[in-house]
Amino acid sequence: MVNAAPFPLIGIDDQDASGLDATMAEVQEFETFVRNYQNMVFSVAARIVGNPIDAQDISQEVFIKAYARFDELKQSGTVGGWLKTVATNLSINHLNRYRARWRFFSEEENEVEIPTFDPPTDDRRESLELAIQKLPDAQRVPLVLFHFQDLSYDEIADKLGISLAKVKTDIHRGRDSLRKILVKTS
Amino acid sequence: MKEPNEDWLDQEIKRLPDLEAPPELLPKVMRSVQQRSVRRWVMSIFRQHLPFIKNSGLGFALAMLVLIPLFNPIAALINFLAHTPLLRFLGDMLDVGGTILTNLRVFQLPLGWLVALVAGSSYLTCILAASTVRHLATAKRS
Repeated sequence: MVNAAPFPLIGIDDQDASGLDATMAEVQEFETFVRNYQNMVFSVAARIVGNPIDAQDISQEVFIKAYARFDELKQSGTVGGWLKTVATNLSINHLNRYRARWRFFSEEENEVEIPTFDPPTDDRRESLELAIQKLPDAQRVPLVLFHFQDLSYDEIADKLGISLAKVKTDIHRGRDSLRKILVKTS
Repeated sequence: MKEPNEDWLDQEIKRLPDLEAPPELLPKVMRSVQQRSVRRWVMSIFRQHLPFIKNSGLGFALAMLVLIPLFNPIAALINFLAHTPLLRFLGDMLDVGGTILTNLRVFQLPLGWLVALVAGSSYLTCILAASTVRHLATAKRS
């Protein structure tokens, strides 16, 4: 039996319709992909920008970029790394764009005060997560890049456009702040 | 390179699980992805059928070239418009206007001539004024 063309009047034949089916199948496949990686991408963005709403927008942008290269990424073994790198770069760009650069990546060695907060629960991990979000940008960003993205000091300095000494100081201060917060809340 | 003295804080940080993405992230992403995928599909169909679309356009243009002199749709349209009451009224008014402009005389001159003379001289005055202003502005700047 010969299959009739689904939309013969507007010139869409079986081949075109099967192309649409393939596109829809690809979209479904991509949905599974997003489900698998959404927490990871969101975590990277949220920890860098320290704000879940901005992190959501950044995550969306990351996945749209991923969709544009989905054919390549499907076959690649380094999807996670690619997503992390794109999320990191977009988050840093976001901070550069929306915050005063001199405050964020300043070479000045001003002492930054850590805001105090009441931990919502006794959960140590939740307290630590919240403490990271509460760190000032200048300390949080290098610390997150060092601990979560496993970047070296040199790579962080290069990415943020600041000196190596500044990176080391900021990470050290950030860790001190976290340590104090955790000791206080434990 | 990690610091040599990895302490309990490193352990705590390492043990931190991924944050949970907000539930609205997935629908948002999928909405924009679906729009893009449909757009991509439409473009692929367009590209795939481009020779057919080009040939159809050429065929249509050729058919028009043959059919237009045969049926002369412009003449039919003008004929149709000429019989509408509004256009007939406009035509009558233009006739009246033309008669006034040619027959009415002011200072021994037909009114039409006078109107053309005033309009022409106003136009020339405007051009002259504009070029003078521009010349003065350029001179002042330099």
